[in-house]
Amino acid sequence: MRKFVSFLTSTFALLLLVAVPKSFAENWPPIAPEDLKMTSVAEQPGAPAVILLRQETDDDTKNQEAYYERIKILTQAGLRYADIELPYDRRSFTIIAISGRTIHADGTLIKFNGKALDKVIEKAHGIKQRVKVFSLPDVQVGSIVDIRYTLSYGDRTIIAPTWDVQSDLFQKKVTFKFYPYMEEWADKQTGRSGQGVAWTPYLPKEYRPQQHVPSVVDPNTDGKTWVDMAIDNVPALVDEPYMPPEDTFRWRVSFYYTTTSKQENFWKDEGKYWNKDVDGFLSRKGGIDTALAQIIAPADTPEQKIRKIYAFISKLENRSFMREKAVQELQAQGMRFNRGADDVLQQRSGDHDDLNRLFVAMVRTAGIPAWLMRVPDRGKNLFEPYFLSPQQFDAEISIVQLDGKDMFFDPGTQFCPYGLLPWHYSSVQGQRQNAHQDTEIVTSTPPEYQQNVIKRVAVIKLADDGTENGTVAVSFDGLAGMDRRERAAQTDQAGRKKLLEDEIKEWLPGGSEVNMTNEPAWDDSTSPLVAHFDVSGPLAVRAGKRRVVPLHIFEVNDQPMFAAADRANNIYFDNPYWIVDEMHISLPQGTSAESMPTDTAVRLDYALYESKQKMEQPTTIYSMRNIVMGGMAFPKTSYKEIKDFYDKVSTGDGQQVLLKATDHAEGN
Amino acid sequence: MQKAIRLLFPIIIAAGILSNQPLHAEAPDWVKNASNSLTPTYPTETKAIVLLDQSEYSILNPGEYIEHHRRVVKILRPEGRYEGDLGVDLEKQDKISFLHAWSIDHAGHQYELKDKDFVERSPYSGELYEDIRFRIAKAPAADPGSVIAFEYEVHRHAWWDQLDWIFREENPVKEATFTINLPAGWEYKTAWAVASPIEPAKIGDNRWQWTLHDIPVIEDEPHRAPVLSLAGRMEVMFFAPGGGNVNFANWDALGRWYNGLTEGRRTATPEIIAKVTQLTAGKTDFDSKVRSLASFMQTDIRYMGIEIGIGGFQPHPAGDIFHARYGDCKDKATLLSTMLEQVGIHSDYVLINTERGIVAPEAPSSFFNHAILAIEIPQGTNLDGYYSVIKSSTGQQYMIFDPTDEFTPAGNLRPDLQGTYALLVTNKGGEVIHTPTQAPETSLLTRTGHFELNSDGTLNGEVLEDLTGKHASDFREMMFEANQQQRTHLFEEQLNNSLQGASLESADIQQLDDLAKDVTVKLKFSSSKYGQVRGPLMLVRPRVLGEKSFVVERKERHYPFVMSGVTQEADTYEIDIPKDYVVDDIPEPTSIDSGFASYESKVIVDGSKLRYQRKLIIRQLEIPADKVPDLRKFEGIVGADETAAIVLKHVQN
Repeated sequence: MRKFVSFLTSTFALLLLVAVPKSFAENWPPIAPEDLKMTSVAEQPGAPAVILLRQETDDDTKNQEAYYERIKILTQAGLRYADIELPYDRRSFTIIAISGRTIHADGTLIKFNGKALDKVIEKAHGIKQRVKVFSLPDVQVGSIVDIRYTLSYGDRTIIAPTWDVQSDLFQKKVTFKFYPYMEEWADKQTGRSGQGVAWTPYLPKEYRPQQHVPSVVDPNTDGKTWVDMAIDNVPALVDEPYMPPEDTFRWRVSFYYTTTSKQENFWKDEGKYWNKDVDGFLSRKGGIDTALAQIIAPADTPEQKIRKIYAFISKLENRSFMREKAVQELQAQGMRFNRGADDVLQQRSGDHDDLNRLFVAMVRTAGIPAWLMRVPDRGKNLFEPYFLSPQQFDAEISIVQLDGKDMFFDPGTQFCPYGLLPWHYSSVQGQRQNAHQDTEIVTSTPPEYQQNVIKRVAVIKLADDGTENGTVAVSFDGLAGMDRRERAAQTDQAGRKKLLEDEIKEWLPGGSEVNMTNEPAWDDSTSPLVAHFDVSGPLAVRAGKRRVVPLHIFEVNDQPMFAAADRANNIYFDNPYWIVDEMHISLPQGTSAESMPTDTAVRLDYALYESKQKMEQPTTIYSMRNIVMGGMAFPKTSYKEIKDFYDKVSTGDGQQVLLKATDHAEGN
Repeated sequence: MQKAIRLLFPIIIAAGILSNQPLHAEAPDWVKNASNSLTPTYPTETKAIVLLDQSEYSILNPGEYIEHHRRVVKILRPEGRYEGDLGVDLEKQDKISFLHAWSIDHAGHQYELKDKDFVERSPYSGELYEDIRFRIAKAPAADPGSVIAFEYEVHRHAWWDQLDWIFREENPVKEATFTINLPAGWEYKTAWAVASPIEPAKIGDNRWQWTLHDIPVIEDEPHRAPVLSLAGRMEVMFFAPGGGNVNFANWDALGRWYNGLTEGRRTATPEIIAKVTQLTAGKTDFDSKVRSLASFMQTDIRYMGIEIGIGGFQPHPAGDIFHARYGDCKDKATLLSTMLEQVGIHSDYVLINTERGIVAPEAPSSFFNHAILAIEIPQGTNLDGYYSVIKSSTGQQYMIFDPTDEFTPAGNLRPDLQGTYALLVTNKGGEVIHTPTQAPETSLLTRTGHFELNSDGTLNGEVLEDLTGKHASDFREMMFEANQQQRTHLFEEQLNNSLQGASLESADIQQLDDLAKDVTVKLKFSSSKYGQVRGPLMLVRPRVLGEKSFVVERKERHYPFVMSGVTQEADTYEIDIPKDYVVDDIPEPTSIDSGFASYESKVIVDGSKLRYQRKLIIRQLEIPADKVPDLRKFEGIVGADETAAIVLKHVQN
């Protein structure tokens, strides 16, 4: 029998699962004496609590999800684990059983007899998002708390769960079970249908879910197929600076109901579905010819044409970077939702994907092969081809073939320079259209450090009292410029000025005054964003009769990149970068540099640091700093090398010049 | 404890809710009139202008009134878009009669939001549950140049017959009015805070209206006191014929009301009595009994708030709190008070606001958000170690103590609660008290370090930190949630902020959980390249650890600069210099005393030892606006000293 269903995404990561009869609710697992006596956990010393047992059972044949958790409170800070908040969508779910108890270290039991209260997170137009809250009584350090609850959902719904395995606490044992709906299903909304379930494990290789089929000899199987998994000693997640997005490494298992049995078929089918949608949009080309005639010239080379079309698209209104507008607000302005490239062109307005689609439509019309590619946002997660869900994609970017070579563009990201991709869409796997009316999985271009450059030049004069005044010129090139332009677009002229002045102040010694003296080309993403400043403030400090001047004035407030000696996670920078500094410091009359630091150079395969300094005139110090981080993702085994690199950078940046009074020096 | 205030400012909701069906409609005349009114010229940084803010209250019965509110704002800058986030707060029994909003954008398009376009939401607060709800919406066209108007009427139910009018905001207000309609025979009285009183116009039978024009902004300044302490407000108390209704005509009335509310809540159960007996066994003096029971309350009764109706103000019975082992601030105060009573120590509630300056003695009001305790000190008790002592008008000495604060021992108060007005609630009524500002020497941060400097510039050594008062509380709070690995990372970060490439060898914390004692921390570490070798010279910063200076902006200051607390801090670092180096140059000693703070430092050369000593004392919780230039100078001197260097010279052995 076919079942017409709607899909729900289960968002209740740590709280799911099966019908629990009332009598069963009191049937708690036995407590080991050693758990009662436990005072700490060796795998996470000093932890506020430890999860002794966590069970999740998702039963799509009964439309229920049941969750059980046993937590040992180890410190006073761990008492907060006795306050429970269960978010649920009241339209789709009902919480049908909540029970809990407290067990003291001496075995005393205190049952939770209270009432769970409903908190409205949001209620509008018939939709209520709620949180069920309650608190377990008489919880003390050393107590064990048991919590169990069940969610129930509608009969015509199937939910492919995600088992969230890891948490911020160490877990002694976790068990998961999923009874999928194994009959044929069809989704009325999308028209898709299928049968069977599959999953993608984001787990170490030794842990894998097991599928079990009903056994005629075992009556306990209840005629149902299930998938289960048990893991002992699950390590806690560790939060560290410069770590990859959590969703790229957190232990979990993502289930999905299959429409076809093979991966390549799935993406092929999904590709057709997406292609059809894109083609429908691009086929509405009214007005594109006319527009192109005004933008490009027949004699233009293909690259000139692409540049001109890109520049044209970049000037259109970008709804993805504006305040979200109400429907009637758009209507009042004569705007409508874009149903095709013609709408985007006519309204001169679109969101991120609309603009990419119009770009591709115009480039194609100009006779140059162009396609779309859908990509994830690697700031959140990465595309996993084995996880058969198109919900992994975040946006569409453009691919243009020039001189037989594919080039990637994103005119849908405001101020993205020609030929570059914003970091979160670069170097990611995704699904692209190709020349054969088909789709394929490819990787977007990797980011390069030359695409994200900051150049800073300071020309300053040091006064007798140790203060300085002078000028600073800064050029933000490529993605560095895009980033500042995006932020500046959220404010007005005064706000933009303050934005950059505040950034410069953060670089310079505390108490510095900064005044921007030019009006940078905020809207021109074809050139670097260049800003000029007058600066003044304290610089030199005392060293008895001498003075000490920092060589790298833009780095005086830098905090260490990596302070920890050890590392649990891989290392991840959003984007490679290149920063070049040049400083010219004129010394006060009657002083000279007594000693100059030696030049520094640190080179790795993927990184470079140089600090060079000299007297360029008898009373002017010249220094240059050059740092490149060319890599993006590194295994944790590289931590020592990377930390060592940045430690050396800190040492180089902290170098100072010793100034002496000329008389004093001569006296010596 | 539930905040006993209503929000008169627009409620700023972080999460954007887009109303999906605003109707395109004509704004009413009062909106158009306000938006067409002439406005003075404002500074370029002004985010928005409040063209009109009208509140009208019609009292129906004791504890029951209708609130009608209108507000028109013109957005001037993108930073003023938050004025399009509209909201009204509702308690359980309150009912909205109507709710509208209109927007007129710069092109003249007009939009309307109706009741159904507003979504309902619970407040984001630290409590597990509160029955307050917000109705919120995002106004269409909330852009520079647009006018946003908001109007609602709510039938409210209140616990008392008193209203407040807060008329000064972070944006300039062109016109603000406050109108009351009283039933026959009712009377009113006003009290004003942070503003000069104005007289109302009688605009009808039992109808009065106060109007203010061109109200200046509250300037946005870093380290400024909270807006509510600067906003200026009027309290209006209502008196029903024959009396009997609840208002706060004076602080005593508020005290009596709260005392009545807590009646019967501090009754000891046998379990409580047994616990007190157990905790105080063998303890005979006031100090040991108080500390024992206070410590139990801080560590064994966890903070958890479920506040429903009057439960936002009224504590649970002591027996229930003890049984559940959790409660909010007023619950914790109630249980501790009950337990203290069992050993013959009387205590009273103190209502306070955790933001200094909001409670104004001249304007009795319910602007409290926290409940703590005043513990009676028996005559003749040695007061050493008690820094939070006050004397009431009756001459009774009390120790002010916050049982909710898990990190501050009895006898101390954290800086937020120091130097501010609060209400002492006794069984005789209420009395405004001013909590003490503790002396700097009650918050000590002492660092003593011994280091060895090598010829290549490497520094090895250890630092012993001793922390009391706010330093100990802050440290305990920082360590509270952290596991061992996280603690190590925190120390590594702290070290690396002062020393490039520092490597932590060991960290030892003592007396972290014993609030009665100082916290001590011993860190052993090394830092390569600490000394910068320059040919025959080496540069060494004698201030090895700890940054105490901060930046004070040069802009003109309108309000006092709020410090993080009074403090006395001393560093002594001894550095053994390499045998092949001698001292060639040392910084001059530093000494400055600005009244509100002092700082001195010096470097002493003792053979091959360098000794750096410095002492910082902050004496005031707030630095007056006219003294902020002095604070800037002071911090500049401290900052220069912190970065000053010693020059060593290489010699042949």
